[in-house]
Amino acid sequence: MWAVEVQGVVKAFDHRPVLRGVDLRVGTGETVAILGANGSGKTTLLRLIATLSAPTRGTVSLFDRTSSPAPDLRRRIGLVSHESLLYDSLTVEENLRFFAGLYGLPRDRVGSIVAEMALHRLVGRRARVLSRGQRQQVNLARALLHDPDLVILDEPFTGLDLDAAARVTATLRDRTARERTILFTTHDLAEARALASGAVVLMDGRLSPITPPDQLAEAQLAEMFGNARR
Amino acid sequence: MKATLLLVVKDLRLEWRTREMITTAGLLAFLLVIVLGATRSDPETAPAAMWVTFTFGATLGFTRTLALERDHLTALLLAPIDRGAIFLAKALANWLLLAVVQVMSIPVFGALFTERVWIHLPALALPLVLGGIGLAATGTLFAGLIVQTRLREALLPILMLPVTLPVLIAAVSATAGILDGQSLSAIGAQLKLLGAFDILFITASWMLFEVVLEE
Repeated sequence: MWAVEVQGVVKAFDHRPVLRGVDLRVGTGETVAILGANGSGKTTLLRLIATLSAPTRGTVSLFDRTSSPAPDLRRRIGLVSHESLLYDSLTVEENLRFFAGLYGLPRDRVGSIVAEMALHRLVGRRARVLSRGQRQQVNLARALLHDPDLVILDEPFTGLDLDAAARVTATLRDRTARERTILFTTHDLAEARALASGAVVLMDGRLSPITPPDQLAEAQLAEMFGNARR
Repeated sequence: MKATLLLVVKDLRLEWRTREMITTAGLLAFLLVIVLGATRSDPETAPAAMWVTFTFGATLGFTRTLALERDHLTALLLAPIDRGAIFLAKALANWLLLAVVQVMSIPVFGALFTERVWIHLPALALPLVLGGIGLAATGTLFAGLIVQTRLREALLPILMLPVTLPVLIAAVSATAGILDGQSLSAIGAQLKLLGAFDILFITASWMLFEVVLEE
């Protein structure tokens, strides 16, 4: 079964195509990195897969069902996006409790994700005072609260120090071990190699075939992205 | 229903911590009452002045409740809840906000315009509640429509006011009737119109909110 199947997807904003016929198939339990320069349409592609946006043309299917914003399908997705998605004036615990409530999760689920991700020190703090790295970890905890089958992450390592990045990687590896599917965007080939079983490159609105990340060469990417990559 | 309650409680908790919306909307309402009262503070102008104040105060508050959610909309849209539940929660929070503005403004109207406000306070609650619900429902729908735009503060009144005109006319008329000492049956037509508009707009907005929140 394909966890994600994108077929001939075109997405245009104001008649300007950002994606020009994207095809992607990701099997259950796979981790795929989407590499691309700034503005290449990585976030647009992730939003389409996350059912937050509809394609101009083509189809997006999740778990063999044509993607629609149906609640039961959304329940299977966890998303960490560019935006924090946390309420600044609420504490970490209040944020997690609120989202756990939206997913109808038992009260002890917040405690278990806090323990799993070692967020004890942060639970009483308001989201406003968290550093970028701490926010990202809490965001990941929020996205994983309901143990989604598909985890979508938009540049999850941006702004993280080595320690935080290692913790995020460990958490995601644990998900992979549990047959969860992970899709993430990155600029960095090293990040793709550390986590992904496959990588694709998004350029000029089109996606390359899935390749093992080791087979993608830095020089090749640098040539593809030009100076925009870094 | 549980999701709606969760969202309302969250909104109220955020507002309690920041007091951002109630301060802004309340201050604008207070200034409007003072300015209108200083211009012409006779009992005949009280109903219109009241609803002008509530409408402008509410409009400011409505824009802010959804602007507050703008950065978190992605998480809400991804949650397995009905989009109509988001509308109901926002409309309820907006109505509560407007009700607070109304409660804060009424004593000033009583002091500046007419003491009849105090005599007819229980009956006055009817048009205030029904008109407030109509304003909150339309305001929430249009605020949802423009939440991602840059000029949302300017756009909301332009979109919302023409649609809410029937509510405002009926609310002003019912308020005037009550302050004149008319019985509730005498202003029944206006109250029925307010009730019908509320039901119609809440139902339509609840159904349309999914489309409204799409990009």
